[in-house]
Amino acid sequence: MVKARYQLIMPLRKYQKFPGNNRFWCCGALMSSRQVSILIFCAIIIVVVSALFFAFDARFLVVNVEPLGVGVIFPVLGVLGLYFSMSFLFKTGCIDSGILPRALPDEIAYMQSQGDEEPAGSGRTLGAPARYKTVQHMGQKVKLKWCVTCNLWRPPRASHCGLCNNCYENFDHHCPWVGNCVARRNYRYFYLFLTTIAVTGVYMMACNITVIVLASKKMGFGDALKTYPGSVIEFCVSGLAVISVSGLSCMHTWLIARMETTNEDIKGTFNPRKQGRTVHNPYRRRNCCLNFLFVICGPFPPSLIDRRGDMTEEYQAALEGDNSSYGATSSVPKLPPESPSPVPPNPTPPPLAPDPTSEVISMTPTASMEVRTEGEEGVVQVTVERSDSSHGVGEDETQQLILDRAGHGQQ
Amino acid sequence: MDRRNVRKIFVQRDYSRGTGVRFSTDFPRELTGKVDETTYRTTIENVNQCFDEAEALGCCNVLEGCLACMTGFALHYCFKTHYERCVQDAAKYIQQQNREVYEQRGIILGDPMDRGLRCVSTLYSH
Ligand SMILES: [Zn+2]
Ligand SMILES: [Zn+2]
Repeated sequence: MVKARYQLIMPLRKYQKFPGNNRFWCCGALMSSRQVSILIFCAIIIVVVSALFFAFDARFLVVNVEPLGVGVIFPVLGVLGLYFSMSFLFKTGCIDSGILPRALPDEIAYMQSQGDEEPAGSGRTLGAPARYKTVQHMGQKVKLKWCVTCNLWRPPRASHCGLCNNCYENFDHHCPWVGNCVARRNYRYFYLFLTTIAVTGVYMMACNITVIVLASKKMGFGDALKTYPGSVIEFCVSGLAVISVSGLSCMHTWLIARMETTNEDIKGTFNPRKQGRTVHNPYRRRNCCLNFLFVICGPFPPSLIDRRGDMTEEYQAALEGDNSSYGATSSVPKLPPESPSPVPPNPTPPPLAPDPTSEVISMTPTASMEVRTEGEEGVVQVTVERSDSSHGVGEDETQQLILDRAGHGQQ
Repeated sequence: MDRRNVRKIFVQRDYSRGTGVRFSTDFPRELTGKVDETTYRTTIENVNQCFDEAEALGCCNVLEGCLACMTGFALHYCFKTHYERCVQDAAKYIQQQNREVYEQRGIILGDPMDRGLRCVSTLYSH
């Protein structure tokens, strides 16, 4: 009752019924994936280490560095490091990282009536057959895959994140440390975050060493360690951070120079050894400086999901998978006979064996398996995650098995 | 426009020149006889130009990107990005074309942003 009245005053916003596995904060202004505990942990670590730095090292250096007054530079640099690392961290973790919004019912009906896809048969995945369409892309032929969840032809470089359950433009990887997918809209923040953390970490370690050395001159090494324990703790934490982040930072520097995403690197999209032929990377610019310029300072597209927009009937219908009222408006001829039964927007049963539980999921022996049941949709999602890739799960590691309600009963 | 006779087509993306936003300039056969093919192509081509401008690695984007980067991206809270301005230009252009050309022929082009830049929804009566 209260809720109904509330809705009369404040109409539902789209983010309140968002179909992906995302969490929204501050009335939809910020968003992240479901797991944000590690993001908060990272933020706390940064704040605590910086607080120790300002409380002990910065104060010590301001007073003890000759000539007097030069030492002010140390806390100033510390503030810059804190500001940049925190702003890059939250910019990576709390914005829409490039979600491709799911198609609306009328659009799905239209696209299914087009029948411009290839006849299925190749690349049969779990459940429904995979649907592909070949298009010309920068002088090469590229296969676009139909996303069964989002009901769209995935653009080149896009991929579906199984954890967030969205398609992302220029998908890089799902990063649990920042609690978000890294994709087109936040890749620059992510890269700058890694670099800032690495640089700030090295800077703080240098300050710690300076403090201990200066103090050792006055009171001896043992007493210096006892008098400034904060510096020792900072040194250890910063050291760990630098070790874990600098490698990743270097890897992404290399990837940007080659204009590849982590996803493409793992899949070996442009790797001649994995592809069996030389593949030209069409996204590469004339030189690697231009690649950097494009990635860090290039065009910044707006968020496409209109999460603060008011709920529309069409959007509601898309969530419920109700396609009946829109299918009639499509005027173009129906699917050609050779096409397989199209995958409807509503997850009706794919051509499964009569008993859904008899589905066999093949996986590598190292894989860990996670079964999650979605309450509302009656969708059982089986996520197969390779345990060796701790840093993110792309479409290829994630296979979705969608069973209908009839197989599992109402929840 | 008579509501009963309204149908929709969706002008799809064209990836031939890259992942940037471009819409297919192929003339949809459903619009034959309603609008001149060259007029239609020009409209879509002009919309594409708005998006080319948005995605270009030009002075505007680079300068804005550098400044945003140096301020820890606080700049984005204060100003609209170049990209957003270009998207608005495209929407304005489509509205203007609707008023001047398409409405009298029973066609309405939609704002591509309404469909997440996947396609341009086009309503037509038949
Ligand atoms: Zn998807
Ligand atoms: Zn994700």
